[in-house]
Amino acid sequence: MAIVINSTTGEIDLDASTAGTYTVTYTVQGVSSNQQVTINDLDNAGFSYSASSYEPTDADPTPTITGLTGGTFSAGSGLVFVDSGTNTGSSTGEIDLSASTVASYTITYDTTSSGSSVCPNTSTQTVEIALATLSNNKSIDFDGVDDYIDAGNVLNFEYNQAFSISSWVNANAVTGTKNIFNKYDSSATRGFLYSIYSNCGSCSNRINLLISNKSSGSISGRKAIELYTSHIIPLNSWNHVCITYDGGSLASGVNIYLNGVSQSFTVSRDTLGSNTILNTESLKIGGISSYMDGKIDELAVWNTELTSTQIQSIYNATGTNVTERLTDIESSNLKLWYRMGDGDTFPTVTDNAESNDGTMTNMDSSDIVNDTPS
Amino acid sequence: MTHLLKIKKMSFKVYTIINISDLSNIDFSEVGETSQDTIRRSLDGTQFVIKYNTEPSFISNGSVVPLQTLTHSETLILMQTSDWSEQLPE
Repeated sequence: MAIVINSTTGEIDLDASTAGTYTVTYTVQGVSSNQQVTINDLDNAGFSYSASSYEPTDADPTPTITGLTGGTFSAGSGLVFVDSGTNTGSSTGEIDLSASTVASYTITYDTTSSGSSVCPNTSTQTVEIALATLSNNKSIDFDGVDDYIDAGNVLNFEYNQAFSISSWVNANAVTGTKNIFNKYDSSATRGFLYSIYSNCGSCSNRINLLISNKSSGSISGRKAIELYTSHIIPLNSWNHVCITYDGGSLASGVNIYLNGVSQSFTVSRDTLGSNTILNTESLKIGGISSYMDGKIDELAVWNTELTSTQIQSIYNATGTNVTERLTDIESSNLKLWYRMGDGDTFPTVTDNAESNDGTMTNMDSSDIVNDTPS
Repeated sequence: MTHLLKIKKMSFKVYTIINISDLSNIDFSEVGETSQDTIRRSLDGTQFVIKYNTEPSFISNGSVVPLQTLTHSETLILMQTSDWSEQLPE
């Protein structure tokens, strides 16, 4: 126990001193006077969670307070405490994992509000909320001639319904248009279609989205949103492509992400309006009219707009033979999830979201290949 | 995150173009196509594609004479022609 004091001025260096009660003596011209000074310790603000990382589906964790009780917990935006329903003002520190956004958080415990607080103090702990990864060993290879997966007449989104499509693609070559995912009636030119596109003059290998009531015939009669990205999609490598649409009937409601990064795009048509895109064609992966030459993996569809944070987490969670467990993301809105080979038995491609299994068509079992994003 | 280039696998080595009049002579258990409902037809509907590794009996016995026999690469080029691919509107 020691006190550090300036003998001339009497200034006490609190940081260098230790807690305790001291007698400070001031002497001038041989006359002394004393005063007792007590230096208190800062409150013990210690706390700890049982782990540094949790999944959204884990049981909600409550920290153990090892220091002074009665303080309050807070964290960065996106984390939700059970008792306060937000990221501040929690007395228990119990985290609502399912309501919190996947991210890393610094959680702070502050003793100021404790009735026993003498010297308020804070302490912090970093907690990560991360999606569980999933083994990923297979994808499906399309020959660019007539291979496709037929899912039947499902996912009939209307023009005013939001949706998101997440996919990993590895294209060998693109001439013209390579259709990756579509629910599209070619005769009526109605539905929605996502492709890699090289039809715009000097451009090549752009991600293309068409949401159409009618996209052919007279210019004035065409009712569609059609756009393609400014940035090319690299060939012969795995790339994550995610498209979101807000259901607002405008191209401004579309977002396209390539490897987790939002892309700028050129709008070639923005005339959809309040016109139906419903049709009775099968949902197809890999082809309609023009066929995908390359591989597709982990294809999923939600009937809501995913956020950029969610899309980045899908991209970031994918590595060598692991990928995102997509049922952890907007699970109630996940309408289709094809693992594309993992857990599938030819010719059936199992839907891991609902029951919209697909059928590999004009293909054979060797089209399920051991090649995945890394 | 890295993205590795891996060697492309080909499940079928031979592609042939067949006249639509021979459709009823195709035994789909001998080819890669699932059925006559799933074949890829030329835009005018007069031809279609089949693929295989072992020559089907309906070709070896002369029941069906292919219009063209192609490699996968050659077929991809053919499929881009206006006879086979209808481009989406620009």
